[in-house]
Amino acid sequence: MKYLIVVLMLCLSLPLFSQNYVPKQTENIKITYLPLNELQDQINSSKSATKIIYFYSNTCSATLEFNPIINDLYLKNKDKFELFVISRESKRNQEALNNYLFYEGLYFPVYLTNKKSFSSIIKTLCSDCNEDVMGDSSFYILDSDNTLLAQSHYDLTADQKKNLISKYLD
Amino acid sequence: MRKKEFLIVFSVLIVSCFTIQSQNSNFEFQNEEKIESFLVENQLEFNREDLVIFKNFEAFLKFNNDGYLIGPVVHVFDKDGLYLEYIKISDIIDKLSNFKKIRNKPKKDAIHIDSWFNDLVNYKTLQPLQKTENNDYYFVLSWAKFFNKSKNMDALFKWYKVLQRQKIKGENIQIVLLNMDFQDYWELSPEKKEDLLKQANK
Repeated sequence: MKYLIVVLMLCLSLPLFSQNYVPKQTENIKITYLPLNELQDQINSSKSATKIIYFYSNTCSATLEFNPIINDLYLKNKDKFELFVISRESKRNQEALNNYLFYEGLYFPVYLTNKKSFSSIIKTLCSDCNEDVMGDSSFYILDSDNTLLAQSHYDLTADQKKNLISKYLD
Repeated sequence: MRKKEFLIVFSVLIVSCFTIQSQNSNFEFQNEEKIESFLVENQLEFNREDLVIFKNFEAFLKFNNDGYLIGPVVHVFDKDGLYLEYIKISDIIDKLSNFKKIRNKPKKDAIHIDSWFNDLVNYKTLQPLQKTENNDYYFVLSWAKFFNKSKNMDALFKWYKVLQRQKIKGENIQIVLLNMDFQDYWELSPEKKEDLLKQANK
């Protein structure tokens, strides 16, 4: 009998699952180029209560895993934090990056900058961060006064990183 | 179809089926319920009006013999319905995200979109596929359960989502999800079905 109910439930749910699929995202892809000092100014001058600075790559496996997660967090919680996604991609590859972001449905705001070394970027933007445990797919979180609240590190899984961010969105 | 005609087309199929059988295929006859359950089980989302099948076995053969039953693949047609290309995997990100990258010169001797549409029916209503007007492109995404690889299916339905986003962004396109499996709806006799499966699954 239980089996019959499960089968019946499945049959009833089929049309609901399958019909009229409409993607939810209607955003535009956002890529901005800023020299590192201007990017720093933009982050620092943001009045958002919580600011998250995330290092993006489309070649690092940890980033590929975390990109859709942070994108989803951003789209659902735009009013709760400001997100700065930093890509070390060259400006001349902007079109390819734009295509990739659209293909993957990643609508978070991406910043390209003039520095390509992770170390030089993190040293400039976050002197309190421990760069030795950071790289692509890492992020750090600031409050409105630009005090470091938290940072991710290599050992965190995607779920742990998601939980860390969520802690600051509640 | 008479027995003699069936044997002729069947012999062509035996040869040509191997074109699409190169990936541990598992052919079986499908119907509306089987297709829907498969898509739901695999969490592949779609609009019902986009999903079509071949209207009969002859249509299946025609496209198979002309080499169009490859997949998973995206076939692209221009605003006049002329065949432009099928997008290679290596180009898929750029071309689906940016239509300017799609080949703009139609291929000679390729089947016009109207011929495709005339041979396709909705998988559920079995009504002929309606061509919407004023499109800049028509995309036909070919897939089949007999591909038997979930990675292929995931990829194709991801392409479908990308095109859906293009539509939402304002692009004038029509998207067709073509299921290329054998269909119960063709009403082949049990013997013909059995013979067909025996040959196709060899």
